[in-house]
Amino acid sequence: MPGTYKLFTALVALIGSVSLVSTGEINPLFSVIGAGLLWGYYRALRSYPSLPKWAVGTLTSTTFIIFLINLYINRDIFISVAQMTLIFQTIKSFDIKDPWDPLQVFFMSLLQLLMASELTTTIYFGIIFVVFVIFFVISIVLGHFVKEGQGTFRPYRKPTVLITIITIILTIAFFVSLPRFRSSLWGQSFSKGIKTTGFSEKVDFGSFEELKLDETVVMRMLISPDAGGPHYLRGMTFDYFDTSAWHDTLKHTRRMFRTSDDFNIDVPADAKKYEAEIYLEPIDTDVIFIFKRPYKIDAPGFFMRSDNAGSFYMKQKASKRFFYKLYSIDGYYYDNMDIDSYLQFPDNILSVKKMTEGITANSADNLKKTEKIKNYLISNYTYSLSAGKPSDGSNAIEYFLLKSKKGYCEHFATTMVLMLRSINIPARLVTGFLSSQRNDIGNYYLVRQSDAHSWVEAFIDGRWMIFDPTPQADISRKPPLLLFLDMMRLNWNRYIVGFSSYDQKQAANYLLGFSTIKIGLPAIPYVNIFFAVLVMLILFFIYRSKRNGYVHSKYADISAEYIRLRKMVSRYGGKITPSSTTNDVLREAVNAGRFNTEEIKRFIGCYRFLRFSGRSDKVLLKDFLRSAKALKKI
Amino acid sequence: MSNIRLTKEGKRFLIAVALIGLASVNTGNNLIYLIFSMMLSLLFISFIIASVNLRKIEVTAEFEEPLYANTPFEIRVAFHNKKIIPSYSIAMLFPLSISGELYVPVIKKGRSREKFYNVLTMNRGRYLLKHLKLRTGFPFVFMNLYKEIDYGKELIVYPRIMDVSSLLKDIPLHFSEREGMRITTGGDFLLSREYVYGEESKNIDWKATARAQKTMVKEFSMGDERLATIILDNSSDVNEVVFEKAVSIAASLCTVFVERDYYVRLITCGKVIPFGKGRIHLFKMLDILAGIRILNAAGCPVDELTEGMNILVVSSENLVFSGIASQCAGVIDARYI
Repeated sequence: MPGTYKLFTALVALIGSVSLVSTGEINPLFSVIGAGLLWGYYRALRSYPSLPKWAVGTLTSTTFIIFLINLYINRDIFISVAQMTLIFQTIKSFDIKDPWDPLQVFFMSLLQLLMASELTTTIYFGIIFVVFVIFFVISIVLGHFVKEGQGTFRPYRKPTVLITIITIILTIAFFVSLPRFRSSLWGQSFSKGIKTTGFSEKVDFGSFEELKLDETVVMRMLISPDAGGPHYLRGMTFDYFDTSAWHDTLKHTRRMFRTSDDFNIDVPADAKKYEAEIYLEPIDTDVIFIFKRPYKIDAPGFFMRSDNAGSFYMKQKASKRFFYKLYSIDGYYYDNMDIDSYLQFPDNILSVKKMTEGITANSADNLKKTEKIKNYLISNYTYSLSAGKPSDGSNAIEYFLLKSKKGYCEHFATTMVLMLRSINIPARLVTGFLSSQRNDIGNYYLVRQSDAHSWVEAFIDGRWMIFDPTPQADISRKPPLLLFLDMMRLNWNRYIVGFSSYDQKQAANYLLGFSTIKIGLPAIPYVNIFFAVLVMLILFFIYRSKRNGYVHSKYADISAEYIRLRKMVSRYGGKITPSSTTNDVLREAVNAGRFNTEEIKRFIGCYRFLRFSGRSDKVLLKDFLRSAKALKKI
Repeated sequence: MSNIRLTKEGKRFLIAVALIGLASVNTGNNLIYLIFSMMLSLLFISFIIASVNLRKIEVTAEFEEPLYANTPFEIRVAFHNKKIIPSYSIAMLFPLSISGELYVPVIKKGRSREKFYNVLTMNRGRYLLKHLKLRTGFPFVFMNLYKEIDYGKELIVYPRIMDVSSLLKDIPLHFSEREGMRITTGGDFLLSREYVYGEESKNIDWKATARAQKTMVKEFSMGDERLATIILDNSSDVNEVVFEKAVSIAASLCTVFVERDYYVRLITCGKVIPFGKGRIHLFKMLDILAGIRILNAAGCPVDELTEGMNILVVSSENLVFSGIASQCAGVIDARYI
């Protein structure tokens, strides 16, 4: 086997294994075993003898046993299979003998890539995929020449490069044009979401601390027009506090159904309008984060849910990236349903009430009182992620308020809500994100786990007003290179991972100047028409090739007409056997009395000439086809 | 349209494509769509490039005649690429009778490429090469595309010519050149033989033409003509190997006597080649012997022996021609050769 072929086999195997390891889901021990293929291919390239059959057999059996044990321990068949392929790649690297062995390696690498695609959605997968396509194509072209017994590849470099480029272009074309469905059929993707907190019915007090240290990107947002950040991305609200956790006890959610392409919300849209495109990573919540007050949401799914507090929820937690578009206005929420619930106050925090009355003593109206509380907290308390916990058994709010005087958003917002409630102002805790990091390279906002935030909404003068009592923390700027890489990530997530039927429509719109062909109702997407036509064409060609017995000789059509005539004659009572000659057919056709004698004579005469003379005659062929058509009409 | 056949790898790949396609629809994972797209494009490219690869490729195959059984010969195959792009990895498949294939790694655009194929052994017979088949699997390993090109040539492989001098030694050649015996006197009518293009029409033997259903001419004696009749008994059901040997002996005898300037006639069950001489006549006889098969006794011209030296070649004891064995100068039994 030529050395070049071995080298490319090694590279494809390596890329396949790297794709799995790069997901971060593989046990390091298996990654180390997988790295053994480097040694195996080194031996193969140096033409060292491959492992004896018994050794390969033993190692393979052992791998199966390891697989079973692994499966028993981690109860995850997907990961267990992935880890098993790493061992198999290594074993195979020591057993490359025949020209067919590399093909097994290629298939296994393809399988590894496939599994990696389910374990990760990072841009690194994209880079690995492109490299894989290049080496995979080159390898199978080389494989072709090896199969044909060629030992040198120098003359084929040019076509190989060309074929690789064509493959990449076609892959993009297929990727863009393959029909997409709004949801999966009966299975779910294996890809895992990012663990988060703060967006469920119960949120433990203090749970934001670990989020504040997590730099994982959870969202990217493009806003138009953008007057500059930071921007509040509202998640959900909480009404009940039991000194250790916040609860959403109201749960008055209702279904909203799609009207045409969007979910419309009954909101007067006469204020300043904004559009926000949000690419939400698969975080562990069904909350749809909103920017300002939306009057329309364009999101996948047949329905979504909303509650009286103005929070929106997906049908279910997204297992993959979720893209939606918000059409919003500057505005307030006016809903006063369950207003008493927002006055709930824990019994054992009496010091809060005293302190609040002191702060707001000279203020006449609720708005001023609220502003005073907010300013008091901002001026007298410090932002810190190391808030500490009360050691004397007292509750966390009193500890923050009276002792430590330092904390993070959760402390400030919770304290303010309780302070407002203590003086009979309805208030609620809102969780969401505060986006402050703008990527000027891509003109979008980066939202990380560390941007998780909580603030306050107070019901003043018949409307819910926003107050953020948390002092500003230092915002660290990221280096331009990192911002550029993140912009690449956004595009990867936007145009590859999050590619949808909506994007197909947009692409069609861009390319063809129209997105749908309206035939009455409903609108039929052009992509579906294109694929329907394509499928029909393929079926037609398959039918044609079948009819002609796959091999289309120049006589096939002529013979097909003759065979059709034989069947017709037989159907009309003529005695046609497999050995019937053209004379027999002619005689039987005339005897049948259903055919025009002159026509059938012309047909048979033309057939004999066209089929057996070895010459072609266009005029005669025309006559023949005309006769065939005339005979069919009987 | 050409004929596509998936290779073993191609079938596996196709199954993988179907499964991955299903997985992509099922999970809605765009990264699986990406892999699926790559696999589809590989299949698509495989088919398109293979089709383009075989387009406008013309092939001519030539060989130097005559061809003899079990004697190696060479076929010169020329591939002509009339496209504006090169073609890669094309093989010409020979029919079953020849078996094997000729591979050309590259044919540059607008160029021809010549290759020689050595046929080591072939049985005697007439082979109609209606089509030549081209194959390409380029650029991948998933499928082979076949295309038939009209060829329409007949390849006639004559029986093997063997050295029969030792056999002739044992035959009492009453009329042989050894004794220098003349069988006719000059200027007399000698025999009727088939017309050869360019001969004078005055010599046409109209009666014989009517009888034989083909143009025959009269041959007149020059006074030193020697006649030999080779009779091959192909009437009985015999061992194939022995029969082949008998055919080979008959062909060799025909060759020897034509080379010795005899007027040679070939009689077999089903076919009779009248007296004639020269290479064209020899090839007529060899044509018959190339395609001769064992027939039943019906149609065997047992009563045609009247003149010249007769040699009977047999391959079994059940002879249709046994009655005339006594009139023959020699009887050669192929079973003992």
